[in-house]
Order: sequence, then C-alpha cells, then structure tokens
Amino acid sequence: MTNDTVITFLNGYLQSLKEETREVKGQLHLGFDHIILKLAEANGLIPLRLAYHRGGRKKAPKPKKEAEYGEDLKVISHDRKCLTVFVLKDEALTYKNWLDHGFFKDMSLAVSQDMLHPDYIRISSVKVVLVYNKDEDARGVEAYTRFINSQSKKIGDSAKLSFDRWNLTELTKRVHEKLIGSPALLPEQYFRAFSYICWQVEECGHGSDQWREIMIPDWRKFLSRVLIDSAGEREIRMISVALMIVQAHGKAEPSWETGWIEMLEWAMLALWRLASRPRSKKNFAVVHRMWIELYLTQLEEYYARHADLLAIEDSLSCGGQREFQEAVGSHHAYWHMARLGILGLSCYQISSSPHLENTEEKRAVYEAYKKALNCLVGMVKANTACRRPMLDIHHIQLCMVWLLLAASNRNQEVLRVFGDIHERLVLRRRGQAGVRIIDQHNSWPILLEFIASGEVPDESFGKSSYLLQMLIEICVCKLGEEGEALGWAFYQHLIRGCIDEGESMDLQDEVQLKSWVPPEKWLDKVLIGSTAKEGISVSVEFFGTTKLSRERFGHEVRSFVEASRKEHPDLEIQAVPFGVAALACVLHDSPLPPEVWRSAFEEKTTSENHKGPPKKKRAKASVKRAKRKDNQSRLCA
Amino acid sequence: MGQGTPAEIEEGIDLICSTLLADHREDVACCFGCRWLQEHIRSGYGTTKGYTIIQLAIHGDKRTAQLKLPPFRDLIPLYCPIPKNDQATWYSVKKLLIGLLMHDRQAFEQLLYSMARVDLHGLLDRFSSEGSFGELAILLSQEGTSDLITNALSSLEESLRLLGICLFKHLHLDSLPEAIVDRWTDEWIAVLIYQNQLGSLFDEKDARFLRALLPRIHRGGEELKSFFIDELVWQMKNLPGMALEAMKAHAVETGDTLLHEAIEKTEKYFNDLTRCSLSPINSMQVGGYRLAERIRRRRWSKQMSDVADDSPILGLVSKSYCLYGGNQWQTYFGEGTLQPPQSMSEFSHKMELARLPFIDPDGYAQRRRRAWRHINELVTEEAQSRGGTTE
Repeated sequence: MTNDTVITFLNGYLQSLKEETREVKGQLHLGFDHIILKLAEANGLIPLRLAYHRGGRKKAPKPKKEAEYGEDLKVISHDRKCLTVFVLKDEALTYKNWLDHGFFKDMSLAVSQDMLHPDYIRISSVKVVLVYNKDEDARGVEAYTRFINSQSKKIGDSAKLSFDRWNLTELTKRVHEKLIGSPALLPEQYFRAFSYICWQVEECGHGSDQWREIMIPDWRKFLSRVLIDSAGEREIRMISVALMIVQAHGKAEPSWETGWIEMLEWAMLALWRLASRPRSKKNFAVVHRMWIELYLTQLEEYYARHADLLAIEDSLSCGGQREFQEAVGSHHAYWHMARLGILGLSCYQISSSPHLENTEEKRAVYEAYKKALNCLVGMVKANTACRRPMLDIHHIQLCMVWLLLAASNRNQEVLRVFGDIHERLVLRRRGQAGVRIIDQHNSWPILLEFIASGEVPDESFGKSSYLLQMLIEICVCKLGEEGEALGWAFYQHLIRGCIDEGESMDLQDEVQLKSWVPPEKWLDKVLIGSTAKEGISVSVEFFGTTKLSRERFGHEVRSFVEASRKEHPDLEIQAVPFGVAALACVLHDSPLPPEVWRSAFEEKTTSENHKGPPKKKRAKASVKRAKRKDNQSRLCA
Repeated sequence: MGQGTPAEIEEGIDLICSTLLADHREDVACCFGCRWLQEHIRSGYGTTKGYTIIQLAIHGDKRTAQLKLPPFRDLIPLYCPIPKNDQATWYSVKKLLIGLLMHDRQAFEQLLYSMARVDLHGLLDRFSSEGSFGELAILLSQEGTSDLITNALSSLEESLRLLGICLFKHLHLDSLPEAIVDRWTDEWIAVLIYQNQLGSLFDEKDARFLRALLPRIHRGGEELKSFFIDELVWQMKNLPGMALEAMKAHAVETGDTLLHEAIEKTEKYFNDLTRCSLSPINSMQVGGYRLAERIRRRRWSKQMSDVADDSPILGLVSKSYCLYGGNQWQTYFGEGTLQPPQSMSEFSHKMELARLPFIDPDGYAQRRRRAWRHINELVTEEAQSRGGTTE
C-alpha cells in the first residue's frame, strides 16, 4: 500500500470520527479523543486528565460530564515541566462555529489553568493545542489567531503559554507518523482482540494451519464485532485503518503479500455484507469506494509488481515435495486466476459503466482491465498448472477466464485453453497422469491426503462434477460449432468414458454431471458463507430418455439450459458488483450460480451497472426477471 | 495327440522336447515332433517349458538343419513373453544368442528381431539391467553392431526401432555410421527422437544418443534443428544434473552451436525459476500440506520395509531398530563374550529424479501421447514413400 493511499484512508477515518467515544442509545459513536491520548503517549507524555472514563474490556468508554468540557485532555512531560492541554472539536473551524460550537469557550477554559495545583508546581510551559477533524475557513482561522494574539504570553507566575492548532491534515500527518503501526489507534474496546490479530500476522505464514484455523477465524470475528447491523461510515473507515495497521505488522516473508490480500478480501466481504443491506446507501458508497480504491488498487499494484514472474514457465510449481507439486502448483495457479479474474472483470464492468463519464478515467480503467487480462493470459500460457483444475470449485476461475477472454472477442483462445484442459483431464481420468479426479469436496486437505495415502476418503469422491457441466454449457451455448464439438468431447470422453468411436475406455469411476439451483436470497447468503449445501442439486443426464446421438447433443444441452432457466429464473446479484459475488464464492468455496455464464453476453441493455442496495423488497418475480436480464447482460456486455 | 486339455498339451510338449533332444530318434519322428511343437506352443505355459524349448534350440538345431526343417529356435517367439523372473530361461536365451552371434550372425539377428517383436520389454529389461546380458553386450561390441543397430533404427516396426535405440545406449556407442544416417530423411530423424521420448526416463545414455544424431541434425533443415533444440531443452529442464551437465561438458568439448543454443535457453529457464523461488507469487502454504506430507513419509517408509521384508537379502540387512547410544555398537551372542565395539558406518546413494513428470504429470503424458501420434503419422508417410505398409 502506498503512503498516499494510507494517508487518504487515514484521513477519511479521522474525519469521520466524533469528538468523543461514547454510546448513544445503544449505538457506539467512535471519537478521536483516544487517538489524541495515544498520540501524546507516543510522544512520551503522561496523561493527567482524560476526556473520558475508561470502559473496561469490550465496553465503550464513558465521557466526562459537561462541567469538565473544554480541557478535554491534559498531559504532562516526564520532567513535569511542560503541560499540554488539548481542546478537541469535531466541527469545522469556521467563524460561525468559533462561537456557536464552543471553540471560543473551550479555548478560554483551556488557558485558565490553576497553576497552584500541586501537580503544576514545576511547570515552566503550558501549551494549548486546538485539534479539529473537519475543514476550516479563513475567517475561522482568523478568529483563532485573534484569540491567541489576545492572550498573555505567560500563565501563572512564570510559566510560558503557547498555542498550537492541528487541523485534519496535521492530525493525519501526526497519526501517520506515530501510530499507523499500532493497534492502539483503534478504539480501546477493540484493542485486545486486534492486538492479538496483529501478533498473529507477525507469526503465521499465509495459508499455514495456524493461519487458516486461528488467524482468519479471529479476523472474521473481529470484523463481525465491529461491523454490526447498526454500523455506519465510521466503523467502515475504521476497518480500512485496521487493515493498514495489520499490514504494518505482517510477517517479514514473501508470503505476506498474498496473506495481506486475503485479509483484505475477508474485510471487503464483511463490508459488502453491511453495505448490501436495504437502506444503506451511504455505507454502500463508502464501501464501493473502498472496493475500488483499496482492494482493486491493491490487486492491481500486486500484479503490476509480479506480472513478469507469473509469466515465467513453471513459476507456480516450484514449491512442495515432488508428490505434491502438481497439486501445489494448481493451488497457487487458481489462487491467482481468481484474483486476476476479479480484477479484470471489475475493471471491465467499471469501464463500461455509463456512470463513468470522464473519458480519461474510463480509458485508465480499461487499460487496467487489459493489463489484468494480459497478465492472466501470460500466466495461463506459462504455467500448465492453470490448466489443471483439481477442485470442482475451480469452475469459478475457469468461468472468469472465459468471461474475460470472451469480453475481448478472444474465443479462439478460450477454445485452446478448454481444449487443453479436456486433453489433460482425459489423461488424468485414464490414470496416465497425476491425480485422477476433480474433488467435489473442494478441500485441499482432503485432496492432499488422497495424494499422500492413495485412499479415497469416501464413496462419492470425484464422482460428480459441476465444473464439467459448466464447461459443457459454455462450450455448447457460447462457443459456436467448434465449442459444440469440444463440449461433445467433454461429454463423450469424461462422462460416458468412451473414445470417439464409442468404444469404452474402461475408466475406473463414472462421473455424473451436476447442476445447481441457488437458494433464495443467494447473494445475501453467499456474502456470509458457503451456499453449496443449499438450493437444489440437479442431476443431469443428457440422453436419459432419448437415444444418444452426437447430432442431438447440442440440442440436448440447450434444452436443459432453457428448461432450467424457465424453472428457476430468479437470481439477484445487482446489489453488488459482480467481482464481489465472485470473491464471496471464491473465499467461501461456494459455487457460482449457473445463471452467471448462461446469461452472459446476452442482448445488451443500456441500463446502469449494479444498482446498489435494494430500497425495498421487490415482491414480484416478473420485476426480478427483468432485472436479472439486465444485470447478467451487463456482466460482460 | 492332436487335441487335448491344456495340461495334456503341456505334458506333450515336455515329452516331445525331451524325446527330440535324444539323437537316436528317427528323422520321421523328428519331423513330426517339430511340426507338433510349432502347432501347439503358445505363450503362457509354465516357466519350465521356456527353458526346455531353448535347450531344444541349443542342442537340436544341428539336426533340424540336417533335415532341412525350420529351426527349433523359431519356437521361442511362440512361447514369449518370457516371465521377467524366469532367470533360468533368460540365461538360456543369452547362451543361445551368444552361440548364434559367434557362428551364425544372420540367425542371431533374426532371433533377436523376432523376440523383440513379441517380447520387447523383456529384452530391453535384460539389456538394461547390469550383468544380465552383460556378456552378450560385450561380445556384440567386439563383433561390431552398427549395421544391426542402424537396420533396427531404420525399421518401420516400432519394436525394432526401440530395440535399436536400446542397443545403441547399452553397447556404449558414441556415433552412428554417417553413410546410413545421411540416408535418413529429416522426418525419420524426428521419428527416432520421438521414439526416444517414449523410452524410459532420460539419462546419460539418452544424451549420448541425441549427440550421435547431432552431425545429421546440422545437415538437416531448420525445422529439424528447432525441433532438436526443443527436445534438448526439455530433457535438460527435466534433469538439470544428468542431462544439462552432460550437455554442457560436451558443448565445451565440441563448441557445437546447437548445443550452446539449447543450453542457453535452459539456463535462462533455471535463472528465471531462481527468481521465482520463494517469491510472493508462490510462497503461500496449502491447507493440509503438512499432514499429507507426514502421511506420505509414513507410507513410503512402510513400503520400504515391506520391500525389505519380501527380499531375503534386504530382510537380513535392513532390520529396523530403535537403539540407544551414539555411533558405536557391539553385540552379545552368549557364552559370556561381548563382541568388541564397532563404529556404525553411514552409507547413502543419490540419484536424480526427473522434474517434469512431477511438476506437470498431465503435460508429460500429453508429450508422450503426441510423440506416439507423430510417430504413427511419420512412419505411415515413410512406409508410403518406401512403397510398403506399416504394421
């Protein structure tokens, strides 16, 4: 993350804060009072008076009473000679506010220190600092200047009185300098949990057992604790700051770069869950901005740094013991394919949005899409592991590869990639190469255990495939005659287990094609967890009642697709950008709804891109159907 | 005796073979026995049959020659494949081949080729395993084998080509006769290279075979040169120790430009990979990897001890114990005498495993499949140009 990005998000967070942290009608208002305290502590100053009473573990702090307003925070130096009084304001410094919102009153209170107090006996200088986290105008600054000029240079008998003013820029700069790596930047009630997460990212490598079993669950727990239903802009922005702190703590090893992206992804998912709720327009706007400026930018920067490495032959298959190299290579390859797919498709979607009027911006985003696509193509060419799907859930990545290439009219490349996948899968199924099956449990631990022990974990292992169903549907319905021939090859060789002439290959297991109907409110559910065990499972037998025929194959597939779409027409994903839905599927190992590829590249409409959160429940299915068409065609129009 | 159960026929074979081995049998009986054996010998009989038939060929072919009958050695391919563990029969085959090589070269070639047609893997195994056909290999080297090998390499039959490649490798040859090699077309050279791909995993011998083709490659077209470089690069990527180092040494010796080009490409590949090693693109761990690795080690260890238990010699020396103590040991065999302490000695053996079958097993299988397909296409074309057909 560049310094500018950090400062931008930090600035946004600080600006969103209230003056003090407190609970109002059961809702937590985050303030920047504790940040000023931490800043003072970071400068070696000792607090004399806090602006609030500490709330204890997991509880919000309580602000002090009205009578004590004005001198929000007092700190003293170690030698007890310098006293600093902070006056905090969550208002803009304007002339109107100077009087109406108590700037003048609080400043006046701050300069009236009782220097006879036993704590102040050794004080030789007093500094009053006005801190505000909003804008300012010239008249406000002038009022402030007039005020400090009118004050005596001394306080008490001999102590020197001085003033300072921290506006938002100054505050951001100081916080960035002193606190950006500290969990203390977050409100106190989150300190303990968040410190533990920071400690864990220093210790665990990305993808390690500890990472998967402890770190990520803790991180998700932390996110859901912060992003409760009533959470608003402040909490959302706080997450961006938490991410920056986490990044500063990352383990000093190469795997941290991908680890950081994964943590960012979990955060984005939690944020989108909040933003996709009805009547959360403001949250949606903030999260959408974070999605683009933080997540997509991070992905873009990462792939700009490493695109050359990904285009090196076998670069993703260097690790692991020999027996596991093919699986490890496939794991890394599909990890990158998912991210490049999300980046490319998101950029494509943004660049083709009618909302983006600025042609320069449009061109820049389109360039980003092109770069992501080229990086993906380079990686797929150089790394054969990209053409080795090992888990059924890898259909998501393959679907995105198709969407990206097809969006640029590169269907011949799609056919080459899918053709190579077909050839490799046939060799694998025949036991002539590597791992025989595609694991529909979608679990790397189970697959690796199978490779290590040679024992199938259960009867159903590798015997059904949603991935092959998707490939057949795409080939037949979207890739013309050549595609139909390839679709038939998939069916004939891998499902029927026969060679072209119809003779059996005597494959060890039969594989059944599976399709799937997502559950109601699929998007809401997939943002929370996997939907693989919900909805309706569909067993597909193309020639169940009719005689097997190569000529009728295309017709059979198209009939099935048509029947499915007619039967289960609803799929609402317009509440979020497609990349978000894809990310949710990738992270939760949840299948992509078939409608994604079935309706892609259908007739183009001029309607806007994702609509944001629904305003109210749309009751009528007919409306949904119309929306679905719009949305799906937008994906890759 | 014309018909019978398989057991009866087996008994008949034994009876007739032992009868025919006796010199005093009448010529008519000999002719009848010979014909009967040709009609009834098939593969899959018990191991002793092979031994008996070969003994018959060793001792009885003088008589068949006198009677102008087909030689008994023609029965051997009918019995093949000879079981891998049938040491006695293989020993007799070796004896027979050596005898033929010394006295009747044409008969030797005929028998070798006809055995290759039906039991290629058995023959390749014998030539490959140290000591098994060692004596025969030495004799072959002394007698001169270039015509035998080039004939095999020129054959439209795959089994003979593979035999030719195998003989080249195991007879420690460095070159092929230029006159014959020059007669081969570029496409035929490609067939031999593809054929080599279908053989066992690459080793020093493969490097020697490819080097022997090098002079001809230089005289070939650009397409052949480029194909040859790709092949070398693949082999060197696959075995950076054995292949790359061997080629490097040869390139320094000869200054060959094609080798240099291939080496340069391979070194670039490895330099690039070094850049990628432990980089942020491939350093993440995979869930469940550690557990799987432990399972693999346990499984491997169990397989090793099973192999050791099955092998009488290994079983004696490879008992596994968990001992206390440092690196010295002593034993007690009773009678109050403790053997003097001895130092434990370590021994180890290193071998290089091919990289690419592990990194990209499906790609490796694809390569073999494509090689097989290209061979078929090219051999069909060659057969047409020679005016014949392939098998």
